[in-house]
Amino acid sequence: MPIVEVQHLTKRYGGRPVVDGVSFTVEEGEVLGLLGHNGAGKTTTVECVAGLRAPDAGTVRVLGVDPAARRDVARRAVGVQLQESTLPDRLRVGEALRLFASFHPAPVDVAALLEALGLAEHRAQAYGDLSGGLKQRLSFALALVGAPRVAVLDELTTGLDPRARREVWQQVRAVVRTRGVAVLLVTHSMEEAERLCDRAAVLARGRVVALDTPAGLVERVAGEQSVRFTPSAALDPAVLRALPEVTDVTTDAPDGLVQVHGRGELVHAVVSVLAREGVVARGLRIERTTLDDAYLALTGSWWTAEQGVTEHEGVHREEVRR
Amino acid sequence: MSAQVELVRAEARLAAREPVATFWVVAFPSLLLAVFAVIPVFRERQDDLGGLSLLDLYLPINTTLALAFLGLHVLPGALAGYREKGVLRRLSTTPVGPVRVLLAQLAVSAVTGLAGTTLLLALGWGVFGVARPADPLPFLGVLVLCLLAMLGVGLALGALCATTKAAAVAGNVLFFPMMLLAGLYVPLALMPEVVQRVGELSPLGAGALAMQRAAAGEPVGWPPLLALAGWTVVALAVSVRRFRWE
Repeated sequence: MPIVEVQHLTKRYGGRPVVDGVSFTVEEGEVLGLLGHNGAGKTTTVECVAGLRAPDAGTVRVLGVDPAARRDVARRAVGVQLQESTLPDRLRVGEALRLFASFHPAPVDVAALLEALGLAEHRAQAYGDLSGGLKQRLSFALALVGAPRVAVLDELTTGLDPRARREVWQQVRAVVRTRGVAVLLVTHSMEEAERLCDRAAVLARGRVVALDTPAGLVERVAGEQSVRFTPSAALDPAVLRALPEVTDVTTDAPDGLVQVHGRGELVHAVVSVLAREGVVARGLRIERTTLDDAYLALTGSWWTAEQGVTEHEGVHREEVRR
Repeated sequence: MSAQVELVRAEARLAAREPVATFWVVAFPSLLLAVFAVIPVFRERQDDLGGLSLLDLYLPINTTLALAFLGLHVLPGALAGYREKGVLRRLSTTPVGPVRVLLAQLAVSAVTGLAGTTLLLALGWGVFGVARPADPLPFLGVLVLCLLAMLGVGLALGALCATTKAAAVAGNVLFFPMMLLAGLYVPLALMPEVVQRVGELSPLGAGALAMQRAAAGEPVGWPPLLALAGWTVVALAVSVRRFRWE
């Protein structure tokens, strides 16, 4: 049974739907990403999961109960890290964690958590003096201190430098692995989604336009890759065209540059053929669709082409059934 | 340890680390009393004050001054700050909920207010020879009522003001008239009849008047007590109706 189950969730502000029929599930030990532009409805969705807001339509279930009706259950089961929510400046790291631990019936070991998140050496530092990275890490620690079954992380690494970001990712992965927490991760960062999420839901204008693994999202948009290289010896393009992975081969006469388009295990297939033919691929470059491209294609279609809407709704329904 | 106890401890630590706020409630009213006490004219008994000295009148007024700083500045600033910074929102996602944070904040504010007024009374009665009531209970009773009214006012302001900036402005705007009506600038007994009547119904004016009567051993009378109780009830009702967690 999924730990978090959201079905046809709709939330309106002033008559305007901000979240419009969103459905997804999160299983134990799974990280589900919510991707989307500002205003796509991500934060409102997670606030409904945390029980902070009640849906206007649709259902939200956390551990089988409605979090808005049973705030007590939601508060115990869901550890929340929210945007724009802070602590008093003069509260110290260790004090904050011990304070939040006292709120929960069965908290995790505070000293071990401080250690695990690299906060132990900062325990006497005041919140107001912490760097952005340490604040985020403390916020993450506070979300976990109650040993929740679900962690809601809203823009966990926004504003962090690349190194701090990687550290936080490692910690999230470690927590998911060791505690089996179900994580709902709101993010802008495709890199974050690729590294952390088992699946990601792409939201646009309050709707899920796609829900798949990060690789699946990429595949869905393009699935097309290309390999470019300069062969060390003459190469008959027909040999490459014969490969089932290859859709097209173009050669650029003057410098002999070969460009191979295709799908699936394209690189492996091409390189194997080249090895068999005794040809070395000089300056080999592989181009493939990234999650960034997929994200832009998936969300952009909503804004630009109205005919794209029906297509993506089809995608959405298929995902909901899955 | 229970969450409520931990919250009170955390609030107490934060208050101790925020010395500016504590200074105005705990230290300043006593310092001001000490300044008055060294001015000879303040110690002279005056017939038009019913045989009391100005210092006798100012001990209750300074008491209301401590409570004014508490209810108009410290408490609303802290509450608006908690809302503005998302502290209340953060806590509303944990099993304690934000109500207990307010209780902890109120408890620490009450202790701060009691610390300030206790220091003031100890100095006034013990050091500067201010006339002490034979029975201190009515005086202390009024003091507690006045403290409750100002905690209520602080909660209400914290509920009505969305930001610390708004809370600071509201506190400053209310401070002057409320202290005027308590007699800080000119003792209420020396002011026009109309001002006296209005002052008796204001939270700090009623408090100062009732404490002055209690200190002189006179009956306090119902009007100031009802005024204090009324302000407490109204302020709490406003707080409950208008409080927003975010």
